Amino acid sequence: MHVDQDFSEYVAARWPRLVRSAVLLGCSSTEAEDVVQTALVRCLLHWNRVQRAEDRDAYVHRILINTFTSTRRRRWTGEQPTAELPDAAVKDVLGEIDRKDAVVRCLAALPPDQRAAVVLRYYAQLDEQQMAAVLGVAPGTVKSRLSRALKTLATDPLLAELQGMP
Amino acid sequence: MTDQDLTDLLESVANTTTVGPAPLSEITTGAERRRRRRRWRAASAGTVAIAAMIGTAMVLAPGQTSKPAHVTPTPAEVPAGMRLVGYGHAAIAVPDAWGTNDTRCGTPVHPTVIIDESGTVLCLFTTPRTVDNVQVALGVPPSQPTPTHQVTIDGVPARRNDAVCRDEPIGLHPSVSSVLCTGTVYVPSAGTSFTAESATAEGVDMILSRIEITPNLVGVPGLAPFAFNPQMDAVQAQQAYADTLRAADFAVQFRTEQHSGLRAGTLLRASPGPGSMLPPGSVVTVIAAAAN
Repeated sequence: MHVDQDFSEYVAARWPRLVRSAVLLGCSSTEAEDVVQTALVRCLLHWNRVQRAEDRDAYVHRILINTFTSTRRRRWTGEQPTAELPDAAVKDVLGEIDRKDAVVRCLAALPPDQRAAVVLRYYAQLDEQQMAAVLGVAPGTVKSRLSRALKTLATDPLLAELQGMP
Repeated sequence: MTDQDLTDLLESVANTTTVGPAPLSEITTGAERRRRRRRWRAASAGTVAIAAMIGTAMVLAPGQTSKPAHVTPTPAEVPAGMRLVGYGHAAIAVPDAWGTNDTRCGTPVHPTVIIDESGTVLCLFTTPRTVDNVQVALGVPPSQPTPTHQVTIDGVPARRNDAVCRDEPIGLHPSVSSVLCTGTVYVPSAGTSFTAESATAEGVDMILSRIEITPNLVGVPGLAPFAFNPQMDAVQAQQAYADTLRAADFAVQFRTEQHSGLRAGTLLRASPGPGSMLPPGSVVTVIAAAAN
């Protein structure tokens, strides 16, 4: 298959999920699109290599994680002071907001390596071998990171409250 | 909370993020722009290096040394179909098709990068015709003349010597020979040299024109100086290599593998291997022999 067509089909199929993975990793939604776009430019430059990779999703996620990590090193993402508060319309869906807020806070409380492991396993649906390839660590390390992350999440009161929510 | 609960929770939270259409044209335009920049750099690097040498020779009085102005290096980008190999923040792009240490009796038999060779087995071997190769080493290999021409690579001072060609006999027949051209570039800031061999001087220049400074990437240090150091036992070698990796800004983890005939702790390899260019902070796994 031609590179451009193959790449276009891949991006069309994976773009939303990759962006949402970046959000769960800690990006704002705007930043997530930037990070994924940068990662996909890098993928396209080496698309032949991506095509040859045994596991294309693992390869792309690896580039995504690297891009995200280097973005975090480079950029300060603190709050920006502003004279006027933006007048943004927000849907009145309190339950959804509470749920998202709780999950984001719980993920943010995890160390970056454990957070990446949770997102890759439970959102990107990669198995432990794929995760080991993405994170560049041994499968045993993946297991221990997941185990520690799950232990932390299991004792988090915010998530415990969510269990009872509809 | 079960695995399925967590999956459902992340799924539902992720779905609250509204995602626009994939910016396919921006992605392809961005990639094309980078490709063009890389092609231009590869094509002009040799010319720039020669111009830099001429400029230096014209401006400097005998005995003076150049002091290049500080230039912020541009981030590394690898041309399509190539990979970076190096030490410190200096690397060379080589075609993906090239092997690594693809040598026989110390002689490259196919286009290859030579890096962190663990030792050369001397044997009777019919020397093949010259094949393109580049040796990446710490310092300048003793077999090469010291590079003296001042050049800059991505704004960083470096030294190189001109490609020198000679006839190299092929096999056991002195009348049959192949031209072997050699040239070296040394990057003092990285303590790294790149020695290229090719059948023509232009081939050497082309290989060496692909050297670049990689401020965002660091080369995984070589293992051989530790694994084959007779003054260190296995544990000391492992510790010294791990310290070197950490000093190069890598995170280190250890793994063992069963390997009959080797003492426990003997260094086997690193993953990613020596010369791989990685972002600082990346994890490098040191693999050693397990206790039998």
